[in-house]
Amino acid sequence: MTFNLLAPAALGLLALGLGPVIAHFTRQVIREERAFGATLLLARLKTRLERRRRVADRALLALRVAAVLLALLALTRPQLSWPETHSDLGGTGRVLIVLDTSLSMDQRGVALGVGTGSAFEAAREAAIAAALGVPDGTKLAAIRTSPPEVIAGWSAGGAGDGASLAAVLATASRSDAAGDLHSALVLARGLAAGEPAEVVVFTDESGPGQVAACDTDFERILAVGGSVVPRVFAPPEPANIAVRGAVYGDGVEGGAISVDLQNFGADEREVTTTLALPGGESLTSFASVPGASEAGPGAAEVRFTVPRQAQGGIASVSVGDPDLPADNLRFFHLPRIGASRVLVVDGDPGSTPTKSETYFLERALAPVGLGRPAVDVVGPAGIAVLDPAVHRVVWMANVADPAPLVPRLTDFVRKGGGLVIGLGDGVTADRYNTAMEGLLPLPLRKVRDIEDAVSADGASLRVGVPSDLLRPFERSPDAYARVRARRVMTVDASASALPAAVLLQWGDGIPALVERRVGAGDVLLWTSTLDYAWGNFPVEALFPAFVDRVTSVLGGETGQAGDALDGIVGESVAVAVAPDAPELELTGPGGGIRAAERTLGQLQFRPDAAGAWTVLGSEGAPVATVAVNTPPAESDVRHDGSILARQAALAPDKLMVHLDLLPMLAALGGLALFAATCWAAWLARAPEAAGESDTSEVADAQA
Amino acid sequence: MTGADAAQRVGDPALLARARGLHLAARRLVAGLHAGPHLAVRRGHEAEFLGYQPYVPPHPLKDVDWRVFARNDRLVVRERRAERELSCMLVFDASADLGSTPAKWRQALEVTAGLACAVLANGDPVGLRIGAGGGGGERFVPARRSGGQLARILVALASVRPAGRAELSKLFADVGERAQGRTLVGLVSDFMEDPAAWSGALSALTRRNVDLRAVQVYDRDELDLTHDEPARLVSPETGGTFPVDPGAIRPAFAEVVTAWRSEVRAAFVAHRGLLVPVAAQDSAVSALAAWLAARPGAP
Repeated sequence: MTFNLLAPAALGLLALGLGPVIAHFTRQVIREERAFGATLLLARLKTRLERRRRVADRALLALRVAAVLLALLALTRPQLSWPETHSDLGGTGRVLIVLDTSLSMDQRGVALGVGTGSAFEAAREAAIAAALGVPDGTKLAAIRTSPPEVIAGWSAGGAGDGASLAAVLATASRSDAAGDLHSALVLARGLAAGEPAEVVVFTDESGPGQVAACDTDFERILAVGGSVVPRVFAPPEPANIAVRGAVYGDGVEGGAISVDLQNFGADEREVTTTLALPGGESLTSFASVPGASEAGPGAAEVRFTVPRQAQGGIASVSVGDPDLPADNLRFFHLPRIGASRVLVVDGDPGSTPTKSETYFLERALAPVGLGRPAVDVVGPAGIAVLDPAVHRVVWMANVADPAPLVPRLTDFVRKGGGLVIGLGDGVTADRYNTAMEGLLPLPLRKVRDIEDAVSADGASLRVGVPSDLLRPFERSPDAYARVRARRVMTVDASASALPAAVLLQWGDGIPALVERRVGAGDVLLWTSTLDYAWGNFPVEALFPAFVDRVTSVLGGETGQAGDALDGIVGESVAVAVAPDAPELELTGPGGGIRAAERTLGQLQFRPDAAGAWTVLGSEGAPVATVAVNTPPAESDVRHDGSILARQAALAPDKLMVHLDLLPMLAALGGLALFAATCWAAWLARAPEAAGESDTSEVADAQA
Repeated sequence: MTGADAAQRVGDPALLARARGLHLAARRLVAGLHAGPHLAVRRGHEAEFLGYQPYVPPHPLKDVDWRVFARNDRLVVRERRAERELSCMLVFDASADLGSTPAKWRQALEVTAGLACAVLANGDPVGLRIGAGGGGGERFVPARRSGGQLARILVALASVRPAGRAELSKLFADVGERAQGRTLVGLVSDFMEDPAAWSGALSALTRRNVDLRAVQVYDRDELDLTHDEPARLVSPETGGTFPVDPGAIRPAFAEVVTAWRSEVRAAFVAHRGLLVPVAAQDSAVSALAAWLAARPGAP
């Protein structure tokens, strides 16, 4: 609603409003006169008497000022204007219902026919009533906004069209995805095909920029004689508290999870915040979140201390907010904490750091970040410390005699542990082939010096069979090229009966990294040394990332190997997969299998609910886990623009209603003047009566 | 001669009524006076011995005859008769300001009549001098203690009307000239003139060894500005007007009143006189008691 002055120049006359005030002072009549025996003292006060005056008869003065101001204000021709649409639908013969099905329509506290419910329930109820209320012969259609799609095309214009559309609308459901009013109006314009139609939008008009993005649509719909009629359903005051982020970081115990809360309502509120860890544990805290201001939503941070050991996976944070329940959960990736330890069995400690595999492995693993494995280093005789409950990966480095280790290693690997075998001068093929037959990916043959035509440093590394293990490095083949070896242990690749895969190989085709699945675990054979003796791998940039990746995958970085991705409900998620990877399976938050589209090198899907989504490989091994959350924009339930107001701005002649305030102000001014006159007359009579009583009193006293 | 007889001689029934009213009021005052502790005007040390009377508190212990006490173990006081008469001249300020309110005027008349009644009852001569005022009554009644003196004074008071300016300095000078021998001068006024103008004239009285005692009559409604509505306040003496908004000036006016009261009190203290203020709204009994009980020359 706006206030305009058709004759603003008359505002200058408002200064005349001071007239009654001046007159009131100058003509202030002292009605009472009395004898006073202490005028001697008044004379002493005379200067003060002249300076100090008090406004008397305030009400009379106010009435006179009001009368003048109202009269002058009337001269400015004030006008109230507000946008308004006609309430009766069907005037154009075609009514198109757009139903907002976005997440924000889950706002509660909206009046229904009976009681209160969500904005969506109220909107759907009103949409059904609107469909049933249009005149016979009106063509009807319906569109939803999330995702934008036509749910009912134009009806024939028969008598039962309203009921048919009402039945369709009754089955419409709200989604947890973002709404797209602009796309819905584009669909509406397409359905209208340039003909005038009444587009009735049942929405909450919330969300930043939602309405503003539709200016073009409003303009074009109005241009062809149509109109967009909003029906707004939202609580009287917006209120919502949402989890906008959860980040795992440093802290005492096993680290801390910092949770960001945002309050989109005006009032400060306290909510419960619950952290659910992948292992099933949960922690609860209370948080007071300040109300939103013009600067933005109110924000608060809640910190949870994670136990020393926690299972990795997708954790969730929830807030107890009844206003918009659909966005109360947020999912995020949490690394395995505390339980993943690496055992390095160092067969040749070396006299200098560069001759020690342990030195390089420790530095590759030691930038100990949170969630990174801790390293235990033992000699071959210390294999007894290997504990499948604690250790996840064992690195063997140039162990001359593996025989004493094999029983525990075999048991460890079969139970799901990872074993990486690094070679060196102390390794002999016969001992390994004999003792580790059940673990070696391929039998060893002999030590061989290799050369490269380009570099004197030996042959470079290149990719062999594509694998999930090394997928992060596929986009940087140059990193492989810089890794060189002068000496390697050749393997017997002809032993094809073994389920081994050559993941990396040297330039001349000699296997560099061979993988073998043993029981529930994996064994990797690195045919060179893990120190600087046979090649430069430990000093290359690839080495720390390689060691980290191998440890993470074999040890289970998130408790389930695979990529950790994030997604938004309603938005496409692409998971990179090997082109020749076997059959993949997508499971949703409930564990049920969901449809996904497999393209070359990608698996695409569009999650319809928040939660943990998992892409599983052929043997049920996770290829990727996706933490899917609701769209953040939908949590912002503050009103941001009015469809009606924006249309009115575009076509004021069609939608603005004007009310001329002149008659009302003139009448009020006259009324105030009349009241002031009556009051003044009454006051003028008062002193006469008072004087009479004074006279009689004095006479009585004299008698 | 009673007040009623004097009024009958005048022949004015209204005057008769007012004189009777004054007489009744004066008797009430004196009766109230005897109910409480007080000292007579003429009791004093320079008196002829009359006899002994039992000591009754709060009679000053200095009047106790300690020799008798030593002999008989009885506390008695010696009763004496004044060697010389103490003539009392009441000066009544009948200026228009004193009559600005009926209550103030009535209180001033009754206080004056009461004083006259009390002095005569004590056997001392009393007279009256009226300053300013209107009406056809006597302006000066010489001090006597004859039987009709009270009636003369009451008729004179009943005859007077508030009018004109008191011109206190001239009045005090006139009274000073008339004072003969040892005299007690009782002033009844609102003293609503600039103290700087009349305080010097008090010397004309004190020079003649006059015992100076004053009753200041005021109206509490006036000095507290108790009314709320703006009004034009008119001086009964000069006719000057003051448009006043009481609510706006009340605090400042209170300061002026306090300063003026201090000036009036200071004028009497400087001349070893007694000043007893009494509000028109209050009983005058205690004021009269204080006036009568005061020792000569001890304010």
